[in-house]
Parts: sequence; structure tokens; C-alpha cells
Amino acid sequence: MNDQNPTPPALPLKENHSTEPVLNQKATLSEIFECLLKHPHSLINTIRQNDAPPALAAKLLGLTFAAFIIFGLTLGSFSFNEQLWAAPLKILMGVIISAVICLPSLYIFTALTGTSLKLPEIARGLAAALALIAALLLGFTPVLWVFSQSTESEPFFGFLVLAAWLIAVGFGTGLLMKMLKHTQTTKTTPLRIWIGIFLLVTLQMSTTLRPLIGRADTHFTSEKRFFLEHWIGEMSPERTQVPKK
Amino acid sequence: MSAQLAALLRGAPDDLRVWIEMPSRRNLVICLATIVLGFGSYGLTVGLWRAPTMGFYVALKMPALIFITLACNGLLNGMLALLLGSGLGFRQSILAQLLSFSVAALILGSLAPILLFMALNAPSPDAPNAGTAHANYMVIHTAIIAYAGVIANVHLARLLVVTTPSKKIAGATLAAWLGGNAFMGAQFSWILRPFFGTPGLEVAFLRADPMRGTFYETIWRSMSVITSGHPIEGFVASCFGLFLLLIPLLKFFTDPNPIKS
Repeated sequence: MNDQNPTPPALPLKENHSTEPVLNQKATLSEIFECLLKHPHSLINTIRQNDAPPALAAKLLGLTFAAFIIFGLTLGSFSFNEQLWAAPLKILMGVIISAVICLPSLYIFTALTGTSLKLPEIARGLAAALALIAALLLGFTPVLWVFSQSTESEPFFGFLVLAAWLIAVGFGTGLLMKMLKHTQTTKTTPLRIWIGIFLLVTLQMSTTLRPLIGRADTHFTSEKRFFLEHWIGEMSPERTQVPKK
Repeated sequence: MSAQLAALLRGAPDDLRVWIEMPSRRNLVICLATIVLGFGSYGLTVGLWRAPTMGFYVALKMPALIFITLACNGLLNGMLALLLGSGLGFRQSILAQLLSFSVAALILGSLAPILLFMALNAPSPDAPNAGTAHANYMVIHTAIIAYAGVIANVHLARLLVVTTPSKKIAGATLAAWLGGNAFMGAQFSWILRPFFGTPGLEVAFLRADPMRGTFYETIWRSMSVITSGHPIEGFVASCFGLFLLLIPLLKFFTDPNPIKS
């Protein structure tokens, strides 16, 4: 050990996030994408403005929709045929329905933390979280595509998609946590519970809208099943032998 | 160039920080050339035992494996680095990983002459004991690649510790990159097979229908065969083996002062 050459000081973490600049109304898609990843507090500051630009919300939604459609296409490429259009549509539909039915509980659970956030801010925060989830899933797309073309095992591919989804939701909902902390609230348990609920809803949605991976005789299945029951059924030896095409 | 490569191998914090915080085209070219030459020369010795053509193929495929893996994971790794708070942009993330692979390339390239000697002295693929030679060959190469991988990742860990705000963030970023690259690297190595050239199988650049099947399903089936239908026990044993490989990194991150110049 040589103490003559001290370790260079680590880069300081920014603590005061409320001073970060808000996003420009004319921000391009790539700037919004970059802001989501690099400067989430800047996005949160923009969201918290009462006169947040509508063009920004539209761009955020456009980015989200495009990323989810590409993600859905990757899932559809596992089976091709009608799944190439059905899977992207189902993914988009599932995400929108999940967000809509979870928004009221998000508002209530957020209010339980004692935060000053209002409903429009929470709605915009949820949209930003979905955009971040979509962006991360877009990052997973090359990985998933490689496996969609290599494996015939629906459980294996399903497991990979699930892993990608869990990671993306983990980071996406992290944005909501940051937004909550932005309001100086220290009580985060209710929001953590809501994140668990949201995750359960999206997982059940994937079962309700099945098949997302692989093919079936109909576009939707009328049989009602809990997602865990469905997964266990799909992993049974007789199901794993079924070829994908 | 040799001074820069020597600095890279030494892994001194100040030198490593310069590579990332002041990225230059020259440094990028050095990394790319090192990976092509290092992995290429090592690949040549891997395939040469089976046939000279195989050696040529593997010399092309090994650097390609690195670049394909990085290209596939580039966007995801860049995003994860940003989300984990490393402060590294996409370009810096890619460069950091290229630096790490360059270290592995230097280690493997430096061992290439020894492995060439070994390939030239091993029983030929049509010899009666070719199966044993092939198995030995695979074990030796796997051990060498694992060693180079561990050292390269310790260098990457040092680099991340000096360029990110905290050791915790550095560890999380490294874990995300390492996990993603290892996961996809294994699958791409499956797609780009053969590397070692099994005796009895024809020499080919790629197997017929290379995208069919996955590395993980094959490993699972092999474990099932080896353990007489108990693949989970085999999986646990493999996880333990992988954990042993991670010990140097764990020691690095638990050290209160990991960067010692």
C-alpha cells in the first residue's frame, strides 16, 4: 500500500434535487428519454409544475406506446403468425388497463404517506413511471429477441420475459418513490404496498390476456385462472413438450 | 500504445479514470484492436487443435462474440448504469466494458503462445485418446477464460469505484453489467459454436441451424443426465462454482479501502 497517492475523491451525490431545471416544452424525444434515465428529478420538477406542458405529456406517451409495441412485437416473434399483431396490442391494452385501474389506489396510498402531491401530479408521475418501464423493456428487447428465436420452450421464454418485466417495474416504480421523497415525505410504506399491488395486477393481466407467448385457437381465453395457477400449469411436463409453431 | 496498455493492466485509479472521463478515439481504437488481437490469437489456439481452418474460424468468432454481446446489451447496460446512479453515460458505459474486455484480451493473448504449444503437442483429433484430449483441452481453456474474466472484472470494479459516487453504486452497476453480459455471452457462445471442435464432428464456422436451442436448456439437460435426473442438485453445485469465481470481487467490495495505488 502506498499512502502517498491518495484515492481520487469520489464524485459527490447531489442532494438538493428541487433546484434541477424543468424540461423545456420543446424537448425532443431523445431529450425526454435521456431525462428519464439521467435526470429523473428534473422530470419530477416538470411534473410538479401545475402548468406542465401538454406537448411533453404527449411525447412521453408516444415514447411509452412505441416502446411497448416494440416489446410486444418481440414477444410476438416467438410464435409469429397472428401473434405479431396480437401480442403488441395485448401488451399495450394490458398496460393501459392496469394503469387506469391502479390509479385510484395509487392516489389513496400516496395520500396515506402524508404527501402534498395532487391527483394530476400523481397521474403524470405514473405516466413517467410507465415510460421508464417501457424504456427499460426496450433495452431488454435485443436480449429477448435472441431467445425468442432460439428456444421453443414457452416456460423458459416466459421466465425471461417475467424477469425483464420485474426489473423494469422495479426501476419504473422507483421513479414514483423518488417523486414521493421529493415532497420531503419519509413515510413510504403505503407506496411500497401499492407497488406490490400494481405488480400483482400486471401479472394477473398477462394471464387474463393470454396467450401473449405461444399460440392458441382463439385470441383470448375464456377460462379464468389465477396467474400462479396458470404458470404452474404451463410448466407441467406435458405442456413443455408442445412445439411453439 | 504499450504505455497505455501497461497502465490499463496496472489498474491505477488515476489512469483508469482518465480513460473514462476523457474518452478519445485513440483509446477506443486501442481497446478494439486489443480485443481483436488478444481474443483472436487466443481463439486461434482454441480451434487449432481440431484443424487449422477451425483455428481461423475461432480467431474470428471470439472477438465477434465480445462485440455481439456488447452490442446486444449496450442499450440495456447504459440504461442500468444511469438508473443505478453511476453517472456514466452510454458512451462511457460501453468504453468501461471495452476496457474490461481489453484486460481479458491482454491476459488471453499473452497466454496464446503457450496454448499454441499445447495444441501442437496434444494427441490429434483422430487419435484413439482424442476424447480425453478434447476434455482436458476444454477444462484448461475454461479455467484460463474464467481467470481472465475474474481479473478483468476486478479491473472493472476498480474503475467503477473511482468513477461512480459510491462503492455501493459501483457494486450494483458491476453486478448488473456482469449478470447481463454473462447471461447473453453464454447464449451467443452457444449460437456461435463450435469453438473447441468436437472430434468426429465436421469442421464448420457455425453449426447447422445455430439459433436452435439455448445454452441454458442444454446445460439443464446435461445436468439431468450427469446427476441421473436430479438437475436441481447440479444447478446448486454450479451456482457454488460460480460463487467461488466471484470471491475476488466480493473481497474487493468488502475491503474498506479497495483502491490502493
